[in-house]
Amino acid sequence: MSRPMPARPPLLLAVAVAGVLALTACSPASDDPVSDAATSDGPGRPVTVMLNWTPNAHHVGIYAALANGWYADAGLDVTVIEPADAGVEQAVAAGAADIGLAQAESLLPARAAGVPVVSVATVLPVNDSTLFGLASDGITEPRDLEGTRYGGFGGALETEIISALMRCDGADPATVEFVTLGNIDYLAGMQADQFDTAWVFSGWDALRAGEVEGVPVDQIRFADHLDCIPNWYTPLVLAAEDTLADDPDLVDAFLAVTARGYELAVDDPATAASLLSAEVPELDAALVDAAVAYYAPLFVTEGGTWGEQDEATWTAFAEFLSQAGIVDSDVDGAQAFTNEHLPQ
Amino acid sequence: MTAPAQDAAAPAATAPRPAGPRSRRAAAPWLPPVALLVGLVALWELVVVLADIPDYVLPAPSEVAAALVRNADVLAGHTVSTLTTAVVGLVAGASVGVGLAFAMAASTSLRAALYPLVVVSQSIPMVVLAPLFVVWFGFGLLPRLLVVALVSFFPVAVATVGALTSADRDQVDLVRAMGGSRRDVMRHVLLPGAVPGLFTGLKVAASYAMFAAVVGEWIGASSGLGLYLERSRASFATDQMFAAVVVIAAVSVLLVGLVFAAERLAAPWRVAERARDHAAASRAPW
Repeated sequence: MSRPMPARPPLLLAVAVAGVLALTACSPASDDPVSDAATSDGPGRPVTVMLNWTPNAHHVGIYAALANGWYADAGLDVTVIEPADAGVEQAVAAGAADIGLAQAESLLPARAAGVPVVSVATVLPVNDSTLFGLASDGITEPRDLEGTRYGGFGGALETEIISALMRCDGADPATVEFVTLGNIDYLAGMQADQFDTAWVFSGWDALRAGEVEGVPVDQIRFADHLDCIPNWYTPLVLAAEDTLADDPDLVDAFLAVTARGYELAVDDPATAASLLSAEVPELDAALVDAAVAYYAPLFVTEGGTWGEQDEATWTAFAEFLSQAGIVDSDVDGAQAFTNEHLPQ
Repeated sequence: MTAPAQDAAAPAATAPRPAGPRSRRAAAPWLPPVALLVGLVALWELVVVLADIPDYVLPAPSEVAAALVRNADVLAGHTVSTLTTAVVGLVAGASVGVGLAFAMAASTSLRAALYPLVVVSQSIPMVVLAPLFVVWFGFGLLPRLLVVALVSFFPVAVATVGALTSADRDQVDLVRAMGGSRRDVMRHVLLPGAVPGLFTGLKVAASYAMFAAVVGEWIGASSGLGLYLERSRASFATDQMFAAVVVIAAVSVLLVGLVFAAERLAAPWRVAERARDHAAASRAPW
């Protein structure tokens, strides 16, 4: 066996490493080829929008506006990012994103913890949350929850809402078994009899079960029980207090375009749905079509405009959270929102 | 069939004979795993069809293949993103690993101080560390690169340190006896001796660089297979999720293959050595 020439191994190794580095340097610099295609001439002011979850029908207004180039026309170069983890409030307050999507039940505790963010618009005027279960289990009223297994994240709000619903209906919440789940497919879990009911959005999980998979489900919709539990805004659009003070035009411009996107969804859900599917091709097109059609009449109340928030709703929900011990009693619901940046 | 006893009785001066008759050596090495894979896939398809399992519980291989074809362009774009993160992170991590290895091999006190910390670094769950990286470094490429680099540097460091510290003493003495300096020892003994260890570590790191990149993407990216997986999961497209997993696995295999190819270039003597070891090992002891 002859010895290899000593110069070869390190030299070849260096060449190989350099080659790999050159190859990766030649790859497209852009992180998101899809949104690059959506922006038109001139970059515009960069705006980072952080979603509250993976893109779904709730975000149709944003994606429809993005696909139509409306943000670019308004001089905004919008990049949408989606953290799998929560913490949108902290990220926006820290400046990692300019605009965030979140929900009232996380915004109020964040403000109570000193995170300076404010809700500037609500995507839906009425909470679309629901408790759904297989039709074979017949859970149509809160009293039917007695003796069932509820699958959730183990949060305090879940316990409070379910307890309130059941007490209003004269049932005993202590009979409900709370099962902690991760990010699983609720329908599959219920069909495998791991639990009986879960808290989802009526227009996504429950709709998918009934219309896309053809599995009949029953629902206890929160909107039907607003005499018992408060309404609250989820999802909502928020920005940092600093942004509102130093750069309100940015928020005004963003909301004006976004409102236009949602108005398109209200007037022409089919087009808006196809725009969302084009921007986010990973989503199931059938579910997107059905969900956008479901939400189209819900984005705006009768005679109202998109995004409007109501002080009474905020105050009542803050009260509910503080009575449940989820936030300190001195968090002011009225301070948590503003309608000033919505288009007139 | 050659008789092992005959080899043992032969004089030690002769080189070991090639293993087995020609027909055994001619069988392609990739045939057994591919055959097993095909069999498993066929069984999977049969089970899904016969038991009428819904596609969101377990999609059939045919549905996964259809999803792959249907989403080929979207998947390609995401794959480029993830692959870039994986390769750059792998190279960065491997470089750090090699540097650490040389440092630890050069000084026993440094090795004693660093080695336990290196091991501990691997026991911190990445799902805990990745969000912290994002908080510290923002939502760009850097936190994802760090995740891959952190995962990659360890096998490279450990394997290279092992190779360096088990350098052949006789060779070192020979170089010294011929008037060689410490640099000559490095050039003629240590570096060539470290190369096999480096590539062993690099193969291990390459096998999960893609996975590490995907985990990094879960914490906030705008493109990549991790993003694709999350979006597919959120719209219950289980067939798409499986398709993404197939792509991740295939690309990981390719990456490891690339490392093998790089090793052929950098350390050709290893190829012959491995063939010999493989031949010797493939003779069953009974």
